[in-house]
Amino acid sequence: MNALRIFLTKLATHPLALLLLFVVVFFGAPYLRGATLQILSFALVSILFTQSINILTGMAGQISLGHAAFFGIGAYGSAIIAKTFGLNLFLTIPVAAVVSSLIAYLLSYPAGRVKEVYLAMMTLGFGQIFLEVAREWTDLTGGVMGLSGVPSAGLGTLIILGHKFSTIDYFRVLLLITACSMIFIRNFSQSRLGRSLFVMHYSELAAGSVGIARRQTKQLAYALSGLLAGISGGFYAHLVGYLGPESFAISRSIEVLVVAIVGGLWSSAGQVISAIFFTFLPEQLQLFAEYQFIAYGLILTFTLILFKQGIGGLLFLPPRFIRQTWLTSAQRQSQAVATNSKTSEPLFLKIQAASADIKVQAITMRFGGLVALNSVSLDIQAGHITALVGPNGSGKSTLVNIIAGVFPPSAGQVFLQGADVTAQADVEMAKKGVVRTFQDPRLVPHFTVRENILLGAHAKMHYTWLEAGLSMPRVHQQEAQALEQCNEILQLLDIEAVADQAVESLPYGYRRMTELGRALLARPKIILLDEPAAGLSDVEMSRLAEILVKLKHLGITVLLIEHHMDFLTGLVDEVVVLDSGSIIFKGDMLGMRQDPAVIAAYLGDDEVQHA
Amino acid sequence: MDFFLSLVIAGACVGSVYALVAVGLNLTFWTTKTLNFGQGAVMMLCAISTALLTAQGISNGVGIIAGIAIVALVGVIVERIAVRPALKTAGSMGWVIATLGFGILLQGITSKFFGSQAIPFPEVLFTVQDVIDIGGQNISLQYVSIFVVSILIIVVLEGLTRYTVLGTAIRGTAQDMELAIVQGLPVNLIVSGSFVLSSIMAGIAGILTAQISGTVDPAFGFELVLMGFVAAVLGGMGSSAGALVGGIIVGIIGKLVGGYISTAAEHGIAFALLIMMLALRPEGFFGRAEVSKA
Amino acid sequence: MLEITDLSVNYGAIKAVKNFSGGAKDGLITAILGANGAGKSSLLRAISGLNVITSGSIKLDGTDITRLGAHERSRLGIAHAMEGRRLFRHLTVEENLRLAWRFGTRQVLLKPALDDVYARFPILAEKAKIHAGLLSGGQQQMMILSCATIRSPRVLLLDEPSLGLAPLITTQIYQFISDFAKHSNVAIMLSEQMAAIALKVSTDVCVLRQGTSVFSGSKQSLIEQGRAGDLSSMYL
Repeated sequence: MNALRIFLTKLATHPLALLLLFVVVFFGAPYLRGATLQILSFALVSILFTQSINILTGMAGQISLGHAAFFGIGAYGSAIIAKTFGLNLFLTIPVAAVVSSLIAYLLSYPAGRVKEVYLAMMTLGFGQIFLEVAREWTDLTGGVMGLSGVPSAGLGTLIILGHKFSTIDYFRVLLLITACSMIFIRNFSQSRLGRSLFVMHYSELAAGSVGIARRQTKQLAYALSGLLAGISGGFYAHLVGYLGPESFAISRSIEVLVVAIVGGLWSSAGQVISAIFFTFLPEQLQLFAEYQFIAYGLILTFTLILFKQGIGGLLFLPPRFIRQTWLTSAQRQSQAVATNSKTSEPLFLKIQAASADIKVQAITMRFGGLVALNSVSLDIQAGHITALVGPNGSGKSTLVNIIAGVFPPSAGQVFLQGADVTAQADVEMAKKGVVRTFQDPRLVPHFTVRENILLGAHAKMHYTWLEAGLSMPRVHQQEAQALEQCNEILQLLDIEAVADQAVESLPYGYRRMTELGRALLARPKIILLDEPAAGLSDVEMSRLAEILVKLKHLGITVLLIEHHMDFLTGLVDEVVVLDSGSIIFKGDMLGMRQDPAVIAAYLGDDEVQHA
Repeated sequence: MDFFLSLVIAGACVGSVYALVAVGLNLTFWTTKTLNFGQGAVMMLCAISTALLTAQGISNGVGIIAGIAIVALVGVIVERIAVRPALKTAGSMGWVIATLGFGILLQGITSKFFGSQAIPFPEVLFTVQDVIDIGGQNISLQYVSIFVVSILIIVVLEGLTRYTVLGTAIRGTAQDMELAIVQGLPVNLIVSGSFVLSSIMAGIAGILTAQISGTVDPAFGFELVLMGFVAAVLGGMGSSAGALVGGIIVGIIGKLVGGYISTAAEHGIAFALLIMMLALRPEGFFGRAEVSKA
Repeated sequence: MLEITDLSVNYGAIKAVKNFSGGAKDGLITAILGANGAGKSSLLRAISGLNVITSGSIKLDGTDITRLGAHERSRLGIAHAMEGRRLFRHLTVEENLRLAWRFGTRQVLLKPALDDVYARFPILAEKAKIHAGLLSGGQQQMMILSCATIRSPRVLLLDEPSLGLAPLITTQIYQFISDFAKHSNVAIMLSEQMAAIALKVSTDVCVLRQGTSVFSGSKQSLIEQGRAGDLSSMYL
């Protein structure tokens, strides 16, 4: 089975094979029956529409139960502008698509703030609003009677610049647009922006920790999705020539979900096959048309449970989110560098100017009535390894969260190299060089180690979504550089062997290292580690300790929360002990072990001797 | 003024049915943080079963009970085959799509075997002609009766959850399921039970609505469920009082907009309210804002 | 009586408890000590059934309960007061107690059982109709312990009962625990980070460090071996 997948994947991603397919279909069009051509055109529209779900739901994980609205905005938009102003579809469709994109962008404001069930309800409601508007705004949309007379190739009414468009011409334009869109989407998914969409789905906190702006990322997903849906709607309008509001009801939204899910939520290749299949099926199989609802119902109920990967997972290898050619050139670069230098320390991580220190002043944190931190003041020395220890509920994680910018303190200030950063959010702090890891590695499960680590470089690359889609040289440059640096980190962490395996299949220790790698690729000045040694074997632990020492040599300041006292011995320069929200000890490990206040905090009062 | 009053009263009455739906949705949201996106089909199934059975000559009362029994069973099934497995394997989105799909499946099966034509629904409570004089207004008894029935059910449910051990157990399970398990509460039963009750609420809401509209068809129920969502969100997910207030507000505003602006906007305004509420105050009027320690 | 043999608990790849053997005897208290992260909570959760057991066995009065789920173990009489003062915040004190009683072994009638609790902790009688989430830490802990004991359990598992409480309240609570052990003949296993107070009431001790038991035996032998003063090194 896997051999088949490898073969099919090679075929589906080989530029020559795809070009050949395009050429055959493009020039073979006149030889097809009119009806077949018509169905194929519908299939192309479906492919485009499904891609809009691919981006919003498949990649960014935002559920949408009302996507027919965007399809409808594109359709009605293009039709109305064409009829009112007499413009041709090369103008009207883009305009309508931009309108759709804008509305999607606006929707992202309320939608981006809610999750799951509320998002589902909101999108459902939005879809209904569109339907009502389409039904009622008779002056604009023709209301329930519908909008007829939309310039259409099938009806012979599509005339562009004096040339009458035939169904073959229309099909070819649609084919071209679809092909370009697919290439654009593929480029986008293999760029930093495409990868960042996935992080939004799996862990918004992890996104923030490496400088990925949450709101903007969601806005981008909505806007792009709206654009694609609008384009597909526009082409639909000029294909059918007549628009009725019922074509944009909930059943349309459900249909596109079915196609996307059966195809495999983030597999473009699978979705193409699924779209073609579901377009042809009702035509070929009268039986299916009768049982359509039942089939859709069964599919939606059980596919995510039983057949999660869809056709894409069945027939193809998992899609990758790094451009292979860039990876190869980065590998070559890395080989060259490796033969020249003997150190296994990534030089790009070296702190150039002074190392960073953090001063925390009179930090108090209250959660309701509970005082988690009580006027805590602390100097975390630049370039040192400091450990934060303490019994349960002492406030260690809270302090790290405050420093990292996850939430602001109730009182007090945080200074980074002398500058007041108290009010800065986690995304800003990450950009300033304060990066953290989590107690529980938050990775994108189906990404490889490399793809996960690469997320760390997101904020360090500076190209736009447009450049990404068009695969501009700038993109190539920046990605290749990030990949090179990623290689150096893989070497440092000794996980090169598993670099291209999906993290969900790897043992816990590798996942920890991957998260550390991601944090390092963000080029931290200060790295905050939350229980990095938890769950590691002895071998993995000593490896981790070596790595932390290397980081210190590079000038990076390290702060770690740990319970594992043995791990900390010989590693840390200073240990700070917290108890019930206050600092009770600052010094070295030996002193800590003997300090009466610390012993009392852990063990109870000194009656332990006389128990 | 008369017109205004008649709209308000009508709005309050339909709003009480929305509240009934919302209370049903709340029940499963309490125990599992999920709700049945295919609830509309449940309503439809109950109403259609009743309609078909009474058309065969079975008495109204028995027909209704049969309809309710059928959807109670559906409640058990939906939890077993759509919700539970989806929660385990398909993450946060899975159950939304699975329950939506199940509703579509029910709708599809119904229209396949009984056709997609509208079926007349019997007049169970009063007839269209019966009116009552309240404050000089002639108000349809059918409207009043659905108001009374809905409020009654909601009050009874609230009483059950507050004053019986089972009700306390449901509230406990809603707050901390792990704690409930370790204290020996029959959590599986409670979860199943919440879906059964939720379906029963939906079924009754379906019957009450069909009473007013006079017919049922397989697509029946979809809009009503959405109204239930809006009522639940406005009031605050999980609050019965909230559901009641939310439902009546939605009903009244809808009828007012429908009467003074355009009948079509009656539902549209509800969705606009939904989006606004979710954007500004997701916890609704009576819900508790979720505070997390991160 | 609780007997645990060679118990291991893994969370995926993390080995939270490694080959633990120990137990609790009727009417007596076993203290499980260790710093945080040592595995104390994981151990107790494995006994009550909330954590899946990777290997090893647990016997309750001779019956092997290893394969039973949390619900069944609760029905058999295992009461577990989880770490972090878990209670039903939005239910009243009395509702919490009723619920605990109702789904316990119900060896005593509700009224006498409640009267017992209120006699022991008058403040709970005062706050009976107040939402449990509004009580102070100490009052909550009293309620939680009462919920555990009102179930007439056979085994009582207490996870860090003294956490975050003032010394005076802690003493009060431990007095209750110790009295309860004597009068009810229930086997008690309690975990504490604060060794001193736990050692006062216990007869047997296990010290955990990173999931492994570094001492297991009677309190007597801990003292005799001179290890009592050594506890800090076992922790730190």
